[in-house]
Amino acid sequence: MAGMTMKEAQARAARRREITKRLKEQVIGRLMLQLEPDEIADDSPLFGSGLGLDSVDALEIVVAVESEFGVSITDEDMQAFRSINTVVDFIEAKQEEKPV
Amino acid sequence: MSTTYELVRNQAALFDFSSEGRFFIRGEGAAEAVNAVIASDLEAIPELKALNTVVLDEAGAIQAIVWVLKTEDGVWVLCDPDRRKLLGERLVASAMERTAEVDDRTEATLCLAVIGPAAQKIAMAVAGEDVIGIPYLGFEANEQTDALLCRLGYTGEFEFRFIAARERASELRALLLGAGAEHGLEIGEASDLPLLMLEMRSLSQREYIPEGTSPIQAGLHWMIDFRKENYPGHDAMHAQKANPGCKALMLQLETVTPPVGDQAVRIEQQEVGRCVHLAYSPTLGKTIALAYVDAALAWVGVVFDVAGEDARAVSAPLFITKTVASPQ
Repeated sequence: MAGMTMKEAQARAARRREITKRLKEQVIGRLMLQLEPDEIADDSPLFGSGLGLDSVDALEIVVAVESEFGVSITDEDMQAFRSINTVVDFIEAKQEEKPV
Repeated sequence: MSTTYELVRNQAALFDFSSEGRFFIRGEGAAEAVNAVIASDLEAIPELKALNTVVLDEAGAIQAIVWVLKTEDGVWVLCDPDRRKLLGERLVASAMERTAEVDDRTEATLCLAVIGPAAQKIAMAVAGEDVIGIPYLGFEANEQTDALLCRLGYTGEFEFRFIAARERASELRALLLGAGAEHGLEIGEASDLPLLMLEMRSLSQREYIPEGTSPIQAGLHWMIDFRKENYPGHDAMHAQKANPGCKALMLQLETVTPPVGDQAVRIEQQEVGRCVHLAYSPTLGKTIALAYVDAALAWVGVVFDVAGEDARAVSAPLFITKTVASPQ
């Protein structure tokens, strides 16, 4: 049988939901968006047709991610900032790199 | 890998979108008439800016995904070919209540699109240097080609659409193919576009959105203005946003041969969703799927069972395209 067990899937979903919600709240607060967290799709493009953000907004998101999640972000990392989900991927990857 | 896929991801391909619906709404109440039908707020965008939005029914189901182009003289609304009749009826009904007229220009005009990393250079060669200043979702009346030139698109690559009088089809096609020859431009197969869209998490309505699906379930929240007060489907959107029931989710399977047929998404043999599309992504070298999954489990990192294979929920876009990676 492939895939996770139900218990593993629920635990994974809960963890991801928590980080995603925190990130959306930070983005909304920092950029003063007239939105609620559940009004942003997780795969929403941050730029262009999605949230319609610009490069200045992107810097605000960098500051938000660094302060809220305690990870550092380089210029090269910015390519990961395409959607809420790709930013959460980045946060999770950075957190996994941290020594326990 | 199909020729069209290769061209769109690496050079450019020319598509004829003339069969898509093209309406022009004019008159004092044109913007109001269109705004009454769509889920985004046309009043919130400036002229020469396009909106990608949805037309919903009262239950919040997607009726049509549309591009709306606001000009000084009126409003263009573009839609998939199979939504033309429905959208025309909705627009005409709205216009009749206001000072506006709906002109179905589908037969009178053509639409040619150049898509790919080289599309901007090709568009510049035929339409002039100003093309470089057209932002994504921007458009202009281009004098050099006597066409409405729009920068839209769903594939993550440059896409320039030329809308012009239908009798100019041969001339414009030859012009674009001539200018694009040095960039490898060839005519593309529109049937390859849904995969190119899906890799960027753009959804072809016909291929990926079952009838009755709402934009919240499809993850198309950005096509809605949640602060807008009056539009068909408003109440359903606000009722559904916290608990949509199911959500569209991108899955990735390690296999290069996609499982065939209608596939269930399972956890421990319990069905928690259905795949609406499975395809091989040449860029990733893996199978990708779009599935509608129980919202409680529809999160990136969860690994499902699809046809006995591990199917991991992944983030979109699935990769960074050449167009996005290159300096613009």
